[in-house]
Amino acid sequence: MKDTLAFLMLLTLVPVGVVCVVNAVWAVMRAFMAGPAAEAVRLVAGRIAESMHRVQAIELALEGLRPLLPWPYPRRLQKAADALRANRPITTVEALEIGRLLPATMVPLAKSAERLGPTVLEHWFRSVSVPPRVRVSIGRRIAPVLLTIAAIVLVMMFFSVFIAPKFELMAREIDLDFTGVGAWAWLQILAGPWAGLTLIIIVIVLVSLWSRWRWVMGRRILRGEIILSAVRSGVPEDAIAAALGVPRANASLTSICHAAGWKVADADALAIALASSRERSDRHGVVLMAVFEIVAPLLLAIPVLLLGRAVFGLLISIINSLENLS
Amino acid sequence: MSVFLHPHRADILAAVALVARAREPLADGLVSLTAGDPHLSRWASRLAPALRSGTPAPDVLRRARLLSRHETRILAADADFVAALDRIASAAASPPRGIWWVRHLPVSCALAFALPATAWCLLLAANGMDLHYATDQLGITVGSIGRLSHQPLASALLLGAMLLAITAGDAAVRGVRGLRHLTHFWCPEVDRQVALLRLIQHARLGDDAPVRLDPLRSALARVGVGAWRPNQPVWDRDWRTWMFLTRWRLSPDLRKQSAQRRDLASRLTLLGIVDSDRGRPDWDAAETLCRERLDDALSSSYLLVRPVLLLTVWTGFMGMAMSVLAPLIRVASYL
Repeated sequence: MKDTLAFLMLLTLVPVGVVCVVNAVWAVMRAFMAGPAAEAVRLVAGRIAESMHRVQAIELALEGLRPLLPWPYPRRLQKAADALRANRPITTVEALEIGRLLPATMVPLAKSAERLGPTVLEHWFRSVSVPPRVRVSIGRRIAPVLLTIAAIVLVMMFFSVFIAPKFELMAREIDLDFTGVGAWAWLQILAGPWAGLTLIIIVIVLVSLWSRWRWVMGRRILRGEIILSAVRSGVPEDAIAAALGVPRANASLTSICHAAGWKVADADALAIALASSRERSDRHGVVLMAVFEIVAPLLLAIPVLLLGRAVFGLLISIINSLENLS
Repeated sequence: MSVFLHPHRADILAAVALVARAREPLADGLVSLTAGDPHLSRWASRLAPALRSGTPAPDVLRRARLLSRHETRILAADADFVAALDRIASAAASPPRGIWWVRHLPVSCALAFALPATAWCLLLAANGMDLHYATDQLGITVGSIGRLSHQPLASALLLGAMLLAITAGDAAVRGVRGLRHLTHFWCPEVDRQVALLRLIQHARLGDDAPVRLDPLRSALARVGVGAWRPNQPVWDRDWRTWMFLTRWRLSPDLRKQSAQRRDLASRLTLLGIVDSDRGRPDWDAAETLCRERLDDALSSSYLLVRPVLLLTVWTGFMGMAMSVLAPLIRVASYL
């Protein structure tokens, strides 16, 4: 009875332990991601826009976000707030850059908006803070697949470390050499003791690349927002051209819009084009999600196929070798 | 946030808020408002007698499982009944789903394992006892899991007892000073936002008066092991939880300064949790942001908790299913 109860308790407490360990590993991994998470960028941008609107200190707004964001963002927020408080003159965007709270691909755009005045910058931050209609990110959808792959890798690591050496020993005792067998090599690659670390590095690289790429896709819209809010706030076209790096010789609104990727002639047309572009981007997001939901489970098939090939290939190799031996 | 609340409470609370805003008597207004809606009119006829009898509306709603204890306290304390009810109704319309399963993960895991396993045991008790009596009489022994299906009724009792023990253990740990922080390990982000949300709700009411503890909590506090402290405001425990969970996020100076303030609103303002709008704290914005962060934290933690729970259900189901075969395998090996 005692061992049965212990077994049942183990079955209950092991899943809790797994959740705690994965949480801890993910908290450490977050620090190594190259760019900030989209949610963090949106939250910071929204809060700064609100502070600018209410003419309040940005550093207080940044400090107020520290309890709301997970590690390592509290440290980064404090760094940005300290940079704003320091005696040397520093702009909001520079402080965010110091705190690594803006993706590298967005910094030039943010600086352009900042050069055009606080109204344009506030409007730009507000545009950044707007969440996409498809709130559930691809990252969230791929997480179960990655977790399952991680579980498979961990089980295979266990196999590789504790069980496979016994097979090798047995093989050596009956003068069998299967270390050169292709399947065995696959198993060693996929399930070796370093497989877990390899998986962690792959996830960090993939997430970093994705967080960089996702903002690249939205740059055209955000550039359009800068032009629109600058025109509406009465900023001269020369200044807009200078801020966006368009040659001053062509400093008409049409040429600025063309240089920014918008084939429109005036501000109203730009506003309509921006709205329709956002709508289109949302629609593409929905389609991408639908495709991804179909493709994501197929991703699981790859490691399962490779491991299945490795394990069964190995068994067949052993049987063949035994037949040859006899 | 409780699993014991009515699932469609948002509609009913919104209807009550609508009537209250129109300054009509709640009972009659509710009955006339819901006349064309069969679902709501059933609720109106259920609530109307209690409302007519003069029982305070928060208590009536609480008894009908439309409000949690915490929400009842907020509603009773808020001077603006309609605004408070509106807030509760809109929050109830999109509740943080699955929060109980995440925050009480050991109990969830125990349930996920024990329920399918118990179902198997009861199924065996109803249908498949002969084989087990036969193996018993033959003196065939099976492993520890095999024994579970060997004595189905006793096993069902054992699983139930285990479930009770884990639930009681979870509740007990949450009531013990120091130890209770162990329960934050599996969902720290969710617990952090839940504590902050409750703090914001208390702060907007100015709920800073010390409260008397109930006898059990008071006794625990006297012994020095209870998580509650006597003569402290109602938010004291949430504040300490939140301070514990944000110890790496806030600077020590700021923590010290905020703890020296007497009222909760000024503490949260000092920490920058609530912005001021035209010189007044913008509680609505702070609460909305906190709810968004809670939803976000919950969906993140559910990514992991859901597969873990499914795996536990599968283990419980398959483990018991395989154990049914254990006596047969033993018989085969004896033969």
